[in-house]
Amino acid sequence: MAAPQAHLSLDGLRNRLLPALDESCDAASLAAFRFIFGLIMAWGGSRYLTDDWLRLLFTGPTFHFHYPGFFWIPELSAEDLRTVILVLIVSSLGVALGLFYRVCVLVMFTSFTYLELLDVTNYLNHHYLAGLLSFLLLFAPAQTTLSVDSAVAGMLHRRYPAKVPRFWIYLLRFQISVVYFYAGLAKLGGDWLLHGQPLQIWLSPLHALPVIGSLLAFPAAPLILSWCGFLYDTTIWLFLWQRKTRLAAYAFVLAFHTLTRVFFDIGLFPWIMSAATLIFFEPDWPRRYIPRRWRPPATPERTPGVSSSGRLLWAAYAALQVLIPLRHNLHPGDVLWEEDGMRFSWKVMVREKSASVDFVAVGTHSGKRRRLSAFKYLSPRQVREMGGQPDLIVQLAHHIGGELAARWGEPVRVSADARVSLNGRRAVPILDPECDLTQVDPAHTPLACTLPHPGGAPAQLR
Amino acid sequence: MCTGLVAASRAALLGAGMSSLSGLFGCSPAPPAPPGDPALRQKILQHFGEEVLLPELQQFEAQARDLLSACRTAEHAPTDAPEDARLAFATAMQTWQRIELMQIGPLATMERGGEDLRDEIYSWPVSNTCRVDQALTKQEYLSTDTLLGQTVNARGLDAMEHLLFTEGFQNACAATIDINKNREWDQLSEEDIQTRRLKYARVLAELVYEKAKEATAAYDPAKGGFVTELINAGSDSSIYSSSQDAFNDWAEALFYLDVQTKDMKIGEPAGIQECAIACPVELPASGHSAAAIAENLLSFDLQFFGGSRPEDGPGLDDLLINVKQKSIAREMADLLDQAHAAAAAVPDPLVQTIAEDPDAVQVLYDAIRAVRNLYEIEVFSVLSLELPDTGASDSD
Repeated sequence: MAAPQAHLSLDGLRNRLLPALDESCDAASLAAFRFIFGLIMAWGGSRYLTDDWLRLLFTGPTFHFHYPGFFWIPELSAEDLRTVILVLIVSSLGVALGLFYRVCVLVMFTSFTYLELLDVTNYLNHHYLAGLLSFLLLFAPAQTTLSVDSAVAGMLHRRYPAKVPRFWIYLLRFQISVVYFYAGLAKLGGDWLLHGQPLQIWLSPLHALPVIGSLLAFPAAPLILSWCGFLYDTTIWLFLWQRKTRLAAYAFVLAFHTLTRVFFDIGLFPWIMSAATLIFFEPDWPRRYIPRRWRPPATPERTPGVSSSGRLLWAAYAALQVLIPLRHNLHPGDVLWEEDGMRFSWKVMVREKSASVDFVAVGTHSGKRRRLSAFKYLSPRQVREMGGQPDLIVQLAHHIGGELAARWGEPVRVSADARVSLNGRRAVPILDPECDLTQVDPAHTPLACTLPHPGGAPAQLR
Repeated sequence: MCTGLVAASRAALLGAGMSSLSGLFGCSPAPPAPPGDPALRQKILQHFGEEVLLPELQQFEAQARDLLSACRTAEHAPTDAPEDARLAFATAMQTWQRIELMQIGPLATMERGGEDLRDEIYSWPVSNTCRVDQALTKQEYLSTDTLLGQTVNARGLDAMEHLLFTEGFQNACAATIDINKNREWDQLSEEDIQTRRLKYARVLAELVYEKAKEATAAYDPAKGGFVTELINAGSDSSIYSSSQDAFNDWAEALFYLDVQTKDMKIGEPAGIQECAIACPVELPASGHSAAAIAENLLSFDLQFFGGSRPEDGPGLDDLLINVKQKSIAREMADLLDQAHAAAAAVPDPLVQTIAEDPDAVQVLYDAIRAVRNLYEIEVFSVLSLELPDTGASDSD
């Protein structure tokens, strides 16, 4: 009986889902997405220059952490980096306007990805999301309406089709849903749901905020907000998919991200999510807000559908998006502690780590023993980020080992005296202090030499 | 408003969690009075500014005036060893070593939003005794403007230490440096050198005193100084939009105990830590290196406890107790006691102790490392502290 059901189910998929993906719809919401996202990317790019991030993130540190497989990424001079950032800003504006769209979106994606690959300590979940959305826009026909390109084409009597396959709308909705779902799943743990940590730690300095501060000081506030965050992340995307609940759900999206903006310094994230979730509304929603005389005609023509091979590739992309956040389950251990599988998994704002890391180098022939402070090599920001991420500690140990071997004229063993506090727990070593980290592959999972999470309840500050 | 929110939550069908969110921000009964932490935080900042930082600066200003007076006396008796000036220097330096851990506000570097005032008074570790001997040879000290146009290590307490305490009549420069290469130094008699050293020291004492006055004024709340910013952090402060910003800034200043005291003053000169180039002890000529370390530790006490003992205050320990982390506060008190005991076992001259009793130096290093670990990990974590530069970029 099972086989026919599967067969039926596959048939059902083929008969209902695939035509739905191929259905035509107004390209206006895709255009609105393009416009707002391009503006946010331009603003994000400008912050590298206006907030001195160029120096703090890129040119100031003398050592940079690399992603596995990306050690070849060239490090540019300050002037060249400034140019890259300017290119990012201009191309993002081009994307927003739909001007030379295909070129601009390619340049925006490339320049942004390059900046992100320069140093692992700059990784942020919402930057990863911005990279993915840029990647999707590379292929999506988001310039076919409400764009300079389409206006110019219209003047040249080469009208762009204003309808697109619904596939592209669904693909973006899927991407946003994945973010919310996994961000919620990441909160399914004792620290978050039973102890209200790390929210309790983060909210305690905010008690002095006017009005809301006294509410945050309410003893149960961190736990209540933790549950709200969990329920919000795990369910909001479902309500956004439903036409009946969409408007109310979007009100909650705005309220939630306004609060996160007030509470935390998470830059673009609230803006990206508030803007991106607009894609859940009906595809023609922007036309209601455009004065009639400026409104481009919603032509019946549509861009070509996605080919069968294209669908397969996008199915593979979707599968990767579902599987990558689950990869930490391939081996035992606490992902929040060991961080194997932490990146690219939407584990957003779920852990507070404080660490202290010293390296101990020993000459293998002379027995010469020296301690080294991470501050000798890294900016304070990099030190903070590295402290909780064992693979980065190993990367720096490799660098130190190489540097000292050249200086001392002998092979050097490097271990780390790395103590970490997770969500306010007492600090314990995260790496075996006897382990020679120069022999450890930082890209191998599970990372050798990592010590297990000691367990126990997190700090209670009330 | 309550009705509206309830209706919205029903319409949204977002369940109990969302209802509680709306309840929390709109419809719940009035919560109990918030714990005293916002008031305590403000009180701690005020106490630090008014009762710790400002009195230290005022004391240093008075001692800088005494140092100037002693230097003036010494200048007029160049044949005698300037013992009074040396004593006055040691006294002022003791206080300054406590201020070293309080580099917040105008004392801090411009990079940290300060005015580089600290470097004008004491530029270690960029001290350059050769540069001082060059300025002495060329008599750059005769013109204050010329001296002020030089790098900071040609003036300040570190230059004064070299001038007041160096025995003998050699200079600190390599043979390839102009004053030796051109034999300018050789042309000076011993009397010339001694006279110039004391004259130069007096000029520097004047500059240090001027900067000390400037620093006191820059912090004095009665003159609208920086302490006002601490008191008003999160309300009327033009620098700190929240009290947390002020705590973060202050927390960074206390990193001095880790990076400068533990690493640069002990670890590197003692060979415990790797040092790529020569890493001499601090204050080598006066032999006050270990005393400086002890004062650094005392400064950490003053700031952490709000006084020299846990019962003083309010200080950071009271904030820990306020967030139910008394065990961390108590452990810090124990660790600081151990660090003070270890420091007492490391006498000056530090160079000699390093050579003769390296174990005692190692114990001191480890004791400060233990303080550092507790401070930078647990205290930072439970108080949600963050180094200001680490706030670059966003977080998620």
